[in-house]
Amino acid sequence: MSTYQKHRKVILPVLLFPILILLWEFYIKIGNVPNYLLPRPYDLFVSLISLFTKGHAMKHIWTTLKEIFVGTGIGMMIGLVFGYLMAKIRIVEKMIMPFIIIVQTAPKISLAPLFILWMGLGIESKAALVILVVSFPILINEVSAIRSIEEDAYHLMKVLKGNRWQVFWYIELPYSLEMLLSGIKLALTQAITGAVIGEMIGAKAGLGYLLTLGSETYDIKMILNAVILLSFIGLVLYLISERIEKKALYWKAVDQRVIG
Amino acid sequence: MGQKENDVVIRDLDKIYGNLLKEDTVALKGINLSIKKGEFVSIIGPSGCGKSTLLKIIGGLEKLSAGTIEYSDPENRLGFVFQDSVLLPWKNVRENAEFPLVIQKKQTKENEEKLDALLDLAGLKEFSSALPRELSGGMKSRVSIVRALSYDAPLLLMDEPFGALDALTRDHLNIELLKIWSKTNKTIIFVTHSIEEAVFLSDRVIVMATRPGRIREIVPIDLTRPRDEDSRNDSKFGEYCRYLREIIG
Ligand SMILES: Nc1ncnc2c1ncn2[C@@H]1O[C@H](COP(=O)(O)OP(=O)(O)OP(=O)(O)O)[C@@H](O)[C@H]1O
Ligand SMILES: [Mg+2]
Repeated sequence: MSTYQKHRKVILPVLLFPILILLWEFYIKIGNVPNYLLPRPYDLFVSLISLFTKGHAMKHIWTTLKEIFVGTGIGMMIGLVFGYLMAKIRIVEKMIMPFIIIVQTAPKISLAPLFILWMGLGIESKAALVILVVSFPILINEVSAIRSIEEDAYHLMKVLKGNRWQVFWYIELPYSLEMLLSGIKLALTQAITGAVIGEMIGAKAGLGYLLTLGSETYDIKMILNAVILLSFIGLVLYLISERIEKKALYWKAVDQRVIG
Repeated sequence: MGQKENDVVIRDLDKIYGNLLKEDTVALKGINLSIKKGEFVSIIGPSGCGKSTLLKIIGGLEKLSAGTIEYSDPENRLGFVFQDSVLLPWKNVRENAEFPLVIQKKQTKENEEKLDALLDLAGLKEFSSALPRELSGGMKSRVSIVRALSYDAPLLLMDEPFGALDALTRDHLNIELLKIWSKTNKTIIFVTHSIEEAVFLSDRVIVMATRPGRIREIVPIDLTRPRDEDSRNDSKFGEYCRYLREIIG
């Protein structure tokens, strides 16, 4: 493989980037677009730098990240535990499932104002929203992960006279982790959306808060900067979770380079 | 042979699967069968006649509806080779084969050495660290057989372990299985679809009939041991196969 082919994934977008910037400049020149609707690329860059130097960008990034991580962590735990209980105990499933389906089909984001009224403008309300958004898909996937374990795996444990705890540890837990790890990308994406929407509705800090602040003060640069930072966070989290997934699920990894 | 002690005795066994919508399925009806210590028996019969059900009941994986089963081993230790291997995908070949020792907390030096010898015997030594997804069907069967042999169970139940393999590989593994069997003195109950395989391996072939699942005939196979490729050329081998084909229909 040539160097080009090896790094094609990186080289092509990097080539496109300056072209996009030039088009942007050009569009503002030609169309006479006023500064308050779309800033020049250079001005935006300067404002992004000053957001870091004077505008406490790190504080906002950190707030949003904290909401995402705390919410995703707790949400996954809740989804996992309740999903497992539902899969193992029929009565629990029969009792809870109808409610799950109702809540699952309703747009959970619509509860954001409620959470902010209940829990205030701090990190708690946003983390709660993230927990809500993350835990439901995990719960439903955990139920189906446990249900789809082949009967013979349980038979094997029975023949070996394994106890309940060993069945959990050696069979059910690994299959749950498989589900969890392959769902982590989706969960993080939804977590970002949950945190940002929560912040937009009511917060004192965070990138979603910057979005609202920007739109209330007609500060287009602030809005764009928040969008840029959010995309960057999204990309980094995506890459990290992809790495974790590849590493932890080594035993099922298909070498994708063969396809790409 | 006739003098040997019984290992498993089944009396008047019935198995009925309840069905909410249709009539109940009578999977097994009036099964009477004694299997001797160290004996190799095969169970053969048309699809759906209850071979797997019978094996699972003997293995304690399925409840019986009527009748009794007695085992000579008070602890009821047994090995089970499932039709589709059931390897844990995140464990490599050796870890999968070692799994029973881990579960039963018997990872003694002696057992580990025995395991390595078995892996060697099964031709899996070089693949010790390979993952299940990297193995061929035949290798997976071998791993699951080694796993069932890795701990001391006097009774080995095998449900079409070579069902998915080509005839050549199957013949080869049959010979390996007989070698292991003669070294370990285990009692083996072996379910198969292949008449040749049943005749080649067994002391007795149990022919089952369907609807309801029952024993049609038990055919003793009087071929000399040890058996190898040449045993298949024995005229008696062909006769047994012809006879069994006739009664199975
Ligand atoms: N869990 C079950 N519930 C209801 N009926 C069952 C169940 N398992 C098996 N049966 C029925 O019992 C009968 C015997 O099934 P079994 O799997 O033992 O047949 P088999 O001889 O092993 O067939 P094959 O050669 O195709 O593997 C079949 O009619 C099947 O439909
Ligand atoms: Mg079967």
